[in-house]
Amino acid sequence: MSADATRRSEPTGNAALERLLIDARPRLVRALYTVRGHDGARDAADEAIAWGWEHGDRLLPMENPVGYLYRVALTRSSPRKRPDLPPVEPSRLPAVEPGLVPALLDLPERQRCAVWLVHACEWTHAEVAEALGIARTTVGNHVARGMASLRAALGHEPTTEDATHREDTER
Amino acid sequence: MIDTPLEEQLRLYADELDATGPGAGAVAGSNVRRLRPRRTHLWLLSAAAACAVLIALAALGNRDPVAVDTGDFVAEPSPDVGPRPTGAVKTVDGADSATGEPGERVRRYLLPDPENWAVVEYWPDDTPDREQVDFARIGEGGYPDLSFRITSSASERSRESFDDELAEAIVFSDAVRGVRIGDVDGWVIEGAGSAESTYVLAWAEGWVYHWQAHRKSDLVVELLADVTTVDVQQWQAAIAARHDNVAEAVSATISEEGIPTTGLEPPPELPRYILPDRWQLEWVTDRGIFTDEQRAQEAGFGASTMIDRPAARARIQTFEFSQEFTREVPLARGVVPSVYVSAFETAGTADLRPVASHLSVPVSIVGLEGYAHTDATGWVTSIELYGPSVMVNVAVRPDSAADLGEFAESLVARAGGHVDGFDSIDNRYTLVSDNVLAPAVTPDDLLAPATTWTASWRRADDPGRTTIQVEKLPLDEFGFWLAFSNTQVDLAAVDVVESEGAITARADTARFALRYDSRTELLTIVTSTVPGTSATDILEDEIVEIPLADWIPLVTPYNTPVLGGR
Repeated sequence: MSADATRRSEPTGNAALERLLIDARPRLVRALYTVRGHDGARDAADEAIAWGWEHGDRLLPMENPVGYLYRVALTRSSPRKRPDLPPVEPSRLPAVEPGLVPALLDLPERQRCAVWLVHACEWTHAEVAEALGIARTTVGNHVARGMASLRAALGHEPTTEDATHREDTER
Repeated sequence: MIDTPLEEQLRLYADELDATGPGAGAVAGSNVRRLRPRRTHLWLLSAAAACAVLIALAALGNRDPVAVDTGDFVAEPSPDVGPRPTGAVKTVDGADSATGEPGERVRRYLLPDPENWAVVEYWPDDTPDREQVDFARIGEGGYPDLSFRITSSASERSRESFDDELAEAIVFSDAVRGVRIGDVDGWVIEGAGSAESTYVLAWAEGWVYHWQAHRKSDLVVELLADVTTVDVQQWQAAIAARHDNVAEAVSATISEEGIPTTGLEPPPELPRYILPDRWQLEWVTDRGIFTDEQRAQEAGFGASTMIDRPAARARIQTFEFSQEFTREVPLARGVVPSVYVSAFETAGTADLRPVASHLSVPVSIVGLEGYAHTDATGWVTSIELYGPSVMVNVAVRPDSAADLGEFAESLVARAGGHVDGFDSIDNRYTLVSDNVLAPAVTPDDLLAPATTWTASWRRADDPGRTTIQVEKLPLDEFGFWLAFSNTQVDLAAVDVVESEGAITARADTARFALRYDSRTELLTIVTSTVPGTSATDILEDEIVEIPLADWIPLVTPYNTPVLGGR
């Protein structure tokens, strides 16, 4: 039996699918905040979860089912030009800049997605690449450029990496 | 300016969003199991669709047979329903849902004829206002056929909310018709989303009822003809019988399929680990501690849910194209571009159509339609194709400069069909792994000894989770594992070392730690999403190996149920 088949052998059927979807939902919701908004993320995730429940035979063998569900959520929910994200409340989040959210929302969608998935959701570049349907190197570029823009907008010192990407862009 | 690194600020803000959203933290199976997605975005509809909603709503109020085909359906008279210039909807019990005024709420227990249908699964909810039940049809053998199921749910909802859902269903479906279910009027929604997705909605006295077949949609209509309203004692008795019903189906399947219950090949001995007491065991998947009888039951359960068993079963085959030398060096397939072509064939009616994104391009390859998924530059990253009973995926790993689109165009399906394999005239790649001779999935496959276990722990003070997975994996399979897992594992983080004829691998990141040794053939993985913890530290310092005799009583209450029931 191949390793792939070995991994698929536990657990089976509905139990495996249920566990997968239960685990996936909070990750999906979090991943979708910056494209579907605070409330819309849950609806979009539920769309994907509902699809996942009906297509377990396709989902279970996948290596990255959450990434696939992310794509399902994006295609099954309507895009929002500027997702509704609540402002930072300094009393609750003293370590977060109040300007972070508007700066994040000002980023182009691809950069915003990549920055959010990598840093807020802690997905690997490979996971993000698969979820967004882009190359890993492209993910790296989006993240670097997005972070550079955030730093600039919030008055943070640019990093060496930021400078490199700026030179690349200008060239 | 705040000194906290921006990366950390993003994570803190995401944590806050998780903690403050509606239903935050409540991740119940019932949430996941909801059959139909909640559609609340009427504002998103186009102007034309919005008009259709208004027409449909009017039809609901006036029972206009022109707008909605009600067939022989005879609706109860609704004398209170008149013009609704403000959009308010009068409910059948006289409550004005626009004002949120509740009418009398009466739960009906709608049970199909137990001669034809049996409860096989029950999904309790945290709240008493929702309940979900799976019914299976009694097959020719006189026991429930677990491959033909209908899920039924009842939830307490306002008429306004129901009307919203029904109006959207009318917009998004091919046809809607009225139907009588027991003593309740309902609506059959056909072709919503896909041709197979017929479902039924009904509302009565503050409760919404919902039926949907897992596979064959016409089963819903068959079941509804059998439904009567019963009292709560009859309902509870039907639910209480679910374990017996499943056991009966499994027992019959074991007998019919000739599944052995003794003398099975034993699983390999694997080390078992636990975490210190501050960690609370959450769930365990360890089939290796099942008895022979339990393994037979599990195989029987799996077989009983297969479509059209035993004549035609789903087959999944994977064909790998890579550079010739990787035949001798499977580990290299983790770094050398390899193309994986997977074919899935089923005798069932599952909807195999792939999901397209705005970057997907329609393609026609090997006689099948589908999509090439591209990145922003138009580079093809994966291809999904489908036919009436077959699905083919083409993917390259690790992602690289390999031109997947060109390669896919070079594929030719063999004469026996897509699941029998492919040939390619693209000389950059050689077929290095041909699973064409692998048999179809059979119940015997489900009896294969478990070579892995996984367990998850949580801490009372944090919603994060730590999981440990141990797997017995020969070296060549570890190579495949690496190649297939590069979406979960950043290959750049895995350090593979060859020394004195042995190969070891390790990865150490905050969230993920991996150890592999070709001498023991053991792969151990620790993942942790608990802030402030390190997967490597947990793997190196915290896990404690315990004897199997101590492990079994400790984890059995948490282990995956043999028959998948609850």
